[in-house]
Amino acid sequence: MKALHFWMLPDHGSKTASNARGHLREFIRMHPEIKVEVAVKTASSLWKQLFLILKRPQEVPAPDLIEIPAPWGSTLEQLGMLEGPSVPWWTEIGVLYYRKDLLRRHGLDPAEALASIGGLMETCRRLARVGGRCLPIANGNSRDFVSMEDVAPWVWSRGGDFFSRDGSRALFHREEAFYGIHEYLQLLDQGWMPLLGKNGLVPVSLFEGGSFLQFHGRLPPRCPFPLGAVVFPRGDGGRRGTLSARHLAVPRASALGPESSELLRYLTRPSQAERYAASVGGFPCRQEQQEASFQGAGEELGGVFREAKAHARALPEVPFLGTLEKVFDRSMENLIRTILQRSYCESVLRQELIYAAAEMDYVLSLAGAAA
Amino acid sequence: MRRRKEPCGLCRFHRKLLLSDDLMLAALGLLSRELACEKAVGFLENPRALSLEARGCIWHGARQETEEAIHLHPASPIAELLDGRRRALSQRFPRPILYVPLSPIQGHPAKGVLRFERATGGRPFSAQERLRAGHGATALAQRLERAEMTRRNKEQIKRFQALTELAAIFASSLRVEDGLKLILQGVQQHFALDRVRLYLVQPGAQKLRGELSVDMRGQVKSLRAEEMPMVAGTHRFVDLLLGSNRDPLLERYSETVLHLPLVLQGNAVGLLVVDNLMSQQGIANEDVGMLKSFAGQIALAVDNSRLFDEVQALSLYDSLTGLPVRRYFFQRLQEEIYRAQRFSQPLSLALLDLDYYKEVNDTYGHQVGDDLLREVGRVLSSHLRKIDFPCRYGGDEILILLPQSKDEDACAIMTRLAQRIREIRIPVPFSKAKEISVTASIGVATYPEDGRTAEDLIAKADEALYWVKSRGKNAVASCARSRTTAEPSS
Repeated sequence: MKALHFWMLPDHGSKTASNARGHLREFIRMHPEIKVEVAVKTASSLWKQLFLILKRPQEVPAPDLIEIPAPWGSTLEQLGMLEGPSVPWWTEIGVLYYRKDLLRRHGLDPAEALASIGGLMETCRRLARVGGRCLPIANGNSRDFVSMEDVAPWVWSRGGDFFSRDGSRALFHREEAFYGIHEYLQLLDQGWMPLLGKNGLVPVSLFEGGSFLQFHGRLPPRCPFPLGAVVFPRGDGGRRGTLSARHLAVPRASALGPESSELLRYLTRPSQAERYAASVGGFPCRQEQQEASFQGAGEELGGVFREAKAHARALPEVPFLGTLEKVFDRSMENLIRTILQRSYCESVLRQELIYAAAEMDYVLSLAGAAA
Repeated sequence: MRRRKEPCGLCRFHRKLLLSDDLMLAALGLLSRELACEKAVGFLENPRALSLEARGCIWHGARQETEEAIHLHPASPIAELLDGRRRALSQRFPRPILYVPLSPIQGHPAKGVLRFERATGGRPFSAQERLRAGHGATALAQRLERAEMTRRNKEQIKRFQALTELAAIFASSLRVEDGLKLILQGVQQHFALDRVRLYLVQPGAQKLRGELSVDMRGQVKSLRAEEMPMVAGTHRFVDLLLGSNRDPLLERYSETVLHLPLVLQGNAVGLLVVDNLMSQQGIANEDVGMLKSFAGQIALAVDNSRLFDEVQALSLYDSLTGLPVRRYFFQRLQEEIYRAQRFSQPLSLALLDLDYYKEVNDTYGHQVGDDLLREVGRVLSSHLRKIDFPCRYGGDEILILLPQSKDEDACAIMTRLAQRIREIRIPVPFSKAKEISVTASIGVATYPEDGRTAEDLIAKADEALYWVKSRGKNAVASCARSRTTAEPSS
């Protein structure tokens, strides 16, 4: 029996592996000679392992199929690590969820209060004064971490961008993008969005009753509160949201190339992809299936996701985006440290972004040589 | 005698486990069962980032990779746990959570924390459970210390092995080009780096020049096109070697890029730059020390090989004319004869003698004679083809190896060379003419027509030279005496 190693991202928390096994049942029945071993890796652990495989191919065993965040595809392809391009599997569409009951209790009309970024900031300010156990907005990240995808709608809604059109230079230190990132960090600096590090305790999500609002890209988990959603608030540069997909790819180092390609084809088949996306609360990547998912979500929520999709953008396809995201993460981590030390200010952000942009320009200049 | 009961069976269970991550997961599994909790996460301190990083997680009884970090803040309750001021920390909302410090002795500073979580609405952790978790964490911390020591010992042994391997390369590589490639590949492989680059200061030229780069696949590229003058402000690498102001950008790269100046007796001989820029993986602290030590070894190897090259240059080249000496020439001649045989290529050999050189010495003195030879050497080095190989055969006789040349090609090349030699002017201020010129006689022999061995070819070229000398000098002749290619010009 051949063992096919499938490395997944934690799409469904602790149930990721068992959920995946359920989706693989038919494939295993069709291919009794193949045993699919599912391993759940965090994004950073997966990134580290993939580079180790590249550097020490003889020593590190390679997986046969991997699930990756879409922006990694270009990096891994350019490094020659993939057997063909990565294939879209499922996606998230960012919306802003809110507690209907609580907002009503505090006299806030979400359609008005959450229509613009200014309105959202004012709402957070108002809700912070309410006190109690609920924070204005939940932090969706399990660690004190701000990613490019987190700040992307803030940058785009201000009319800014991360990279030049030809993908040769970083632009997020320019004025519009700068203020977009500043606004997002204001949520943390003002204490409206909790930081794990501040009291060392786990942040509580909206769905557990820890906040009034939360950005989230999937259908909501079952919870005892009435929830509503709006598309990402409008900024000076328009209304923008995020579309973040997960892809599947066969690593070139796989010892079971044909079998892995077969499994990739099976999982990305429209019916299978749709079932998997639904099981993790996400959306399929194909347009017609997405529409079916919106309809399944109900008139109100489906309408919000439909509108959010119309305004959504994915991160740009620049070379080595996965590496650039890591540089950005490190910069955001430095800024979070200043927030925790109460020394965050615009000039600190400006300096940090200028340095990060210079570092990214350098990585982009190396991109051609490394590929 | 009654045996003392282990606090939670950890000691018995973990005696066989040697890796800290396995230990952590085993302990978390055991404790999460004993405390009937849904999730248990172990965090260890990352001093570089001033945070606690999740190192293991058990969720619903199964191992789960997790990405979680707690930034340390002096006023946070977690900091109180770490410095031993608190024994436990718990909360009820929105779900019961318990933190205990990972300290080998209760009440002492800890290296990390364990966190236990129950499902929303679950029973809060009791005082007895807090105590049990604390004991378990202490037992685990003691074993983690031991495992860490074992790991360090193993790492140390591995590093010494690598050092020995690389030292063997250093010792066996006397020429820069031979050794550096292997050394850099070894450094890249051992430390699993994205890129290793080497820049060397060019002695005399006051330049820092790129030598070699090894990428993450171990492929080697030349960096010879990268050159920067050793002047402050021209490049951050140069500034780094000159000790000028440090670029703040370099500080930012310090986790993923390491700049290691190669210094010998206070003099910078080069710069080794290693990075993990593409993978964005921090270079481990313990690797930094080892890389610094390698940089010292590389500096020594570069210096040794340069000395070797200098000594070899001195022994291979004639100090007056700058032309290779006979021994070096014969080595090349044998190689070229082999190549001519193997690939059926033509090969010629010319013997050049300066006309009336003895008279020049006798009339104007040896100083002028030496100046003349030096100038002839310069003309030969600059006007022959790159593949041609001249040598000072003795006195004013010069042998010239002309690969890939039939006798008519060789004669044409020699005719042009004779013309260049005729153009030489050596100033002689004390003479009436104020300067002297010189002519040369040249005999050419060709492989295989005139001979198949070095000795035969030289003998035939000498015969041709004698033929020229006997017919008035200042000409070129091939071995077949009838085929004179140039008539005496004066």
